[in-house]
Amino acid sequence: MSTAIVTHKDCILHETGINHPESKERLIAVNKSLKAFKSSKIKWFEGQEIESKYFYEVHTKSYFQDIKKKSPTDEPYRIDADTILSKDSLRAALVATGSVCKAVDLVLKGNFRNAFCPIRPPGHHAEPERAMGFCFFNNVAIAANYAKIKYGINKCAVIDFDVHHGNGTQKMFWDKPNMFYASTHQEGIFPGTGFKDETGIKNNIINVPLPAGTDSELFKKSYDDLIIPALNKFVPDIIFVSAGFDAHIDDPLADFRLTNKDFYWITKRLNDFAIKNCKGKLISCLEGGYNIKALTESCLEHVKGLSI
Amino acid sequence: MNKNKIDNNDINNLTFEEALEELEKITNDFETGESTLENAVNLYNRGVLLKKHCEQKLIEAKKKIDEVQLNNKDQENKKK
Repeated sequence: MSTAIVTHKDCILHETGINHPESKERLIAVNKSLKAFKSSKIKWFEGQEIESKYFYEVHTKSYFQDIKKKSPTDEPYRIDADTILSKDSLRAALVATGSVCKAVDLVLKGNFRNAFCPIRPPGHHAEPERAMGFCFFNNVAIAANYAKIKYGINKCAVIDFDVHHGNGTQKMFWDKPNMFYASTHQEGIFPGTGFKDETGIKNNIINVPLPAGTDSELFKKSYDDLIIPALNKFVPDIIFVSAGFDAHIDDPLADFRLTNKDFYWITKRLNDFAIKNCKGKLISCLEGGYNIKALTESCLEHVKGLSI
Repeated sequence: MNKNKIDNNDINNLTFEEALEELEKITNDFETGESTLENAVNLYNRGVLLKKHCEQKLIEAKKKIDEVQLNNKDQENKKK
């Protein structure tokens, strides 16, 4: 079987309030659209919460306790202007992370070549001790560490094509030479990190900040000329993808000009790389994407690119 | 720096009571002093918008009361 889709029904329990772009409607629409796409190469799974020991490799125990303590029983708690902790946010965040780890199980046991996890809340801004930018737990970093601890995977690469820089993932990988992080993102917007000269302890971080208005051509060139060659040099055992679709031309939070087809292109490019260099092992998880129509269409292209 | 460019648009849809309640919560957050500087600035900005919204709602309410009082006065004068 080619592609597992792993999610959890409780991911929609995370409430962000009226007019917040990171809404449960995003995930409901994505799952509806993906379920309507019938393919013999795809199978759906539900994730589950993971043991806390895998968490504490990435986030501190005190941070986890703090989120637990701040979790409200009634009205949402505003961590910052962007990040809202509602009464079921913790549960949603735990099963979101658990879904990506379940995807690791499915791929590393050899049942599936790759996996996509349509989940929320997203994760790539979450730092070891800080929730921010709609994120609580760094799903992709936790899953990468889970793959290392549980399956003895040596070298993990995370490719992040969300329009915002994944400051959390970068921070977690910075001093770990066997962890590679590469990102294309719009320069000068949230979270204000991801400059070219942020390269990690052993050039294991590649940042490609791009200007507002970036289109297909510049986006593709960034991967062809910079990120794929660096990935080739790193020689990963497995690839994780922080799949944000807010670089779409219709997204309200940024100013790139990508189309649905560009998300098929990048998915296929990474999938081809994984097939050639990592026995196909690739796990992708949803990050941003806030125009629901653009998000659902782009996610469908993403899954098509994975399941070919 | 916020991620959500449209975050504060929701204030326009709040009732007076909802806006006031959130404003009180922000004030409490300030008093506990737990926010980072960046969060505090974001909360302050939102607080200013909430205060403006509450003031606008009060002005609208006062206008309505004035109109009702004026109508009542007119009717009383007509009766005389």
